[in-house]
Amino acid sequence: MLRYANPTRFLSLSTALVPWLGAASAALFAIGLYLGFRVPPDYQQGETVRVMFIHVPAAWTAMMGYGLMAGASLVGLVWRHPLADTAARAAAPLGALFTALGLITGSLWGRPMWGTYWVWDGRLTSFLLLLFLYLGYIALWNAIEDETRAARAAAILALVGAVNLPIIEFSVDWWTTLHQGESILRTGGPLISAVYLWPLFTMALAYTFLFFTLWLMRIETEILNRRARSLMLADGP
Amino acid sequence: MSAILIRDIRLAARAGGSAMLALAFFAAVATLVPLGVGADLRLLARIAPGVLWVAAVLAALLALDRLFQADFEDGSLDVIALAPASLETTALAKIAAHWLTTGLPLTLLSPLLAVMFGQEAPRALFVSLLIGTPAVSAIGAIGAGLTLSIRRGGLILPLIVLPLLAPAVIFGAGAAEEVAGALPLLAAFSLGACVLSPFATAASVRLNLGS
Amino acid sequence: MIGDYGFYVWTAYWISAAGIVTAVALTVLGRMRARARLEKLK
Repeated sequence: MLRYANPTRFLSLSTALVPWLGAASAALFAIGLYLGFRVPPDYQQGETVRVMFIHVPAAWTAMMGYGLMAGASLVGLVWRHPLADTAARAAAPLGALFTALGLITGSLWGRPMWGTYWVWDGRLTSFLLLLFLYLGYIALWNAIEDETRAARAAAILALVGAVNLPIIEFSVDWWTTLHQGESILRTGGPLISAVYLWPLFTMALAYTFLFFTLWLMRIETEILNRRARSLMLADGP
Repeated sequence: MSAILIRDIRLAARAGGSAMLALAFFAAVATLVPLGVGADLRLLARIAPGVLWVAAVLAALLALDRLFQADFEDGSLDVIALAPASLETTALAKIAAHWLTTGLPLTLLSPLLAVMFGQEAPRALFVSLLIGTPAVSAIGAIGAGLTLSIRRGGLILPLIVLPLLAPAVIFGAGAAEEVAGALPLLAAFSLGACVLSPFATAASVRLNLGS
Repeated sequence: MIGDYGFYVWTAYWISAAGIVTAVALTVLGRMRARARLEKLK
């Protein structure tokens, strides 16, 4: 991994990978959507089961994004890998987006079942807190002026969040069962029959590839911007 | 470490009592809630544990952004950071001082507010706040360290700290309602927070030191 | 058949699509702009 600490090497790797990742994601989306709409409606949930094919992948990507962000933060903090902080920062808005999508699709999925657009279900509530963790992380990066300090502060926040996240999930889960809310939004709902797993996995893979495509591109953009900035400074007034 | 503790308590007491500020905020919020939801004592008694817990957390966060400010500005943090592990000890001392001047007073006031909310036995709330507010100080301190160099850091601090405090509110309010198992969970969370926070706090203070 | 629940399904898919397309657009545009700026400076 240290080989790609060199921005130039990273750029060459990323430029090679991104088209493939993007193409793979697009293909998976096409297949996943096709499968998702071809599959028969659930006998309990009817057509709304199809929302699962975009809700669960969004949720999964949001969590994965935070994991990657925390991992990159750790690498940046401990090993001082030069690109790690950039990678962490680049992942945050993507993660926040997928969290928001997960919340929206979760709400729409539940509306036919619950009769309301929102319930303080364990899953959704945890998700909302995850969104706040993302937003706080982004806000911290933007609020601290010195780049190095911002990187380190954000890294610490990401790691503290990562440690706290399982505790948050556990406590929200405990709270849900307490207040007798129905945790309807377990992965997939009451029972998943095998026929739904194919579109689900395909879409999950599609979302994952999409995340990586966008992530790598964002890191590239930051590297290029930095180069431009240093060139401008070198040229002088 | 006790020297720092005593000094911080004295500073806090002198600083117009952030304790008074926190207490006033706590009471003010507790007063506004019935104005908002109505005077039905049965309803108030039902929501009291949660509402008072949230109010206490918010009140405890008030003075947090000033936790390290004074020492940061006069350079004494840089001096402290030179000695090994003493930044961690200082962090722990500051967390303790913060709790003694916010969490503890809030806990002591809570039975009065609980009674105003129609709760006849405020003991559960008292105990839950007693055990839970240290966690608020501990986790809040991490936020205070992270936002040290931000000029208007006070605004961003609640945003980053509050999601992390969700377990405290959940277990705390649960314990205040005497839900089975809530108090041990709260105690575990508090203990974990107090043990781990000094390290995270010290790390976040350290990154702000020395340009 | 879409039935009663068609609204929720379509809304969810359209919103997701909008979010993803926006993200892709912003990312790609950002990169193109960064590349262009760098080329101009060289």
